[in-house]
Amino acid sequence: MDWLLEIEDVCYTYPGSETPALNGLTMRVPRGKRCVLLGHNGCGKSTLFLHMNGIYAPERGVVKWKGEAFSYRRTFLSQIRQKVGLVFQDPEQQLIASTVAEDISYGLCSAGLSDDEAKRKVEQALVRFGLEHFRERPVHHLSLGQKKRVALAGVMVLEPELLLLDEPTAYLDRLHTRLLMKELERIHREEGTTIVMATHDIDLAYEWADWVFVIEDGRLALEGAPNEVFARRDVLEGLQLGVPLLFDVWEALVPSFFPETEARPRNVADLKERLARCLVD
Amino acid sequence: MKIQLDTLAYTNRLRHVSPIQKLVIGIIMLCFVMVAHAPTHIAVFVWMSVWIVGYAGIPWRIYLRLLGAISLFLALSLPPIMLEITARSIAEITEQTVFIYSFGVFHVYIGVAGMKKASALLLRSLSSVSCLYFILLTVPFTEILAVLRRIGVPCMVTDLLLVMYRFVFVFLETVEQLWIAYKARGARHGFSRKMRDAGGLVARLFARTVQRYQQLSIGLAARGFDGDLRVVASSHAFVSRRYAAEAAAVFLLLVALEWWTGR
Repeated sequence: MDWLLEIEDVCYTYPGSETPALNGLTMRVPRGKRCVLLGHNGCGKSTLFLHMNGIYAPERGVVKWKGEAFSYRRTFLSQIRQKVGLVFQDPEQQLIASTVAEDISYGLCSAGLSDDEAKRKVEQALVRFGLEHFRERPVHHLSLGQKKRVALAGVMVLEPELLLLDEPTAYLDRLHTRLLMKELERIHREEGTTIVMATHDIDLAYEWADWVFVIEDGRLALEGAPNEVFARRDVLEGLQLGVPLLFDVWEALVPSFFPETEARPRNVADLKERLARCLVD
Repeated sequence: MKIQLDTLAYTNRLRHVSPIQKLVIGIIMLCFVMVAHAPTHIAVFVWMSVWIVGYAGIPWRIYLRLLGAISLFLALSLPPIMLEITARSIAEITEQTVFIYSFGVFHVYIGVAGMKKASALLLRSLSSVSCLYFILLTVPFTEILAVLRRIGVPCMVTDLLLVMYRFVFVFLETVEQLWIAYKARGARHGFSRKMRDAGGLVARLFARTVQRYQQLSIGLAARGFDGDLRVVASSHAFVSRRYAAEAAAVFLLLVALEWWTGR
């Protein structure tokens, strides 16, 4: 497999803290995949993200971009932050300018684009993310869902190769979670961006991901394709993460209704369809 | 939490008129008020109110309330200008008086001259306040910033203003959240207890603000901050000929009025 970003034996302890946030973490992000990072609150997901775009430098270990170790020099960092886009859990943290269009333009201006070029790209991004009507709205007049969309648009406008999302669905209702997932689907399909999403919504992870990382106490506990990872019920239960509901349901149905060799359904619609087919037969 | 002035600035009917045009009108009127006299002040006040309530469509109740708030401050500042205290005998007070109150050897009185001075000041203040409200209620802060950048104010200053403006709202939201949390968890009654709660709130607020600041600096770094907060404003503002014509015509009339009454 082709690795976009590699984390090798990384340790990091916050100043004043006794336990390390990352404790010898090793993981590799496969290019072009939709990855999910599962773990409890405080397991080191956010710290890991801040290592992935060079905001924190590891105390021990190396972070590599396409096989090349991070150098933490100014020019390198500004390049890496363009290639690795990070969307924070709280959009308030990354919205800087006061209107939507201005905020989206911020990254472009920092990247040294001309004003006309920046304006054109902002306009495209506004349309792509359905924000045309909010163009000149001040950021503090938006709802949380809208702020999250603006934050995502502000990052995606730079066309990063790797998109990091820290709990993107936190505090969002079902409707907005759906919309966001659709948006991510589009980004992955049309722009070929590799996505890493930190979440603790295990059902969402199962439905969406191609690749799953499970992190516990600053270490990688499990890694692999969703079917392989969620089959390790013993480990997941031990970590108190559990397995996806759909996975459980399928396991209950398998011997009597479906042959064991049949591929698992990844979403509810798929399961419904197969059940309907099974009942007709 | 929203600030009413700010919200109105983004939603008024003059929103799409070029901010420069509005700023020029407001600032010229403000300067004119400084040199003009009483009758012209009334005219400026009426005209600016027409702009605010009529053209910009700010609800008159809100405008009155805003004026009321300012009038309170004005009213408080008037007595020191009007009242005179003297220890001399009444016969020695040469100017015309409207009111005298004596206690012991002291006499407190309001003279006609003082009244005139105070009313002139009141009118001047009200008319300049109306010009200022015109700017505040029709030009959003972000557009003022864009204009400042265009006229070559150093980036450092505009960046600071920008971050401060964002922070005001983040701060207010934090205050509101904390305050609601206090109330929801059973804020206590009684003055001293309330004060203690408020003290706790301020301490928490400080901690939260520092935390917010740290988060924002990480957020800035993640978005490739390199010491300069450059953004492009894609504004659809246009210069309104109709308003420009009216502004010019009425301004000339006001100058004429000033010249005619000031002779």
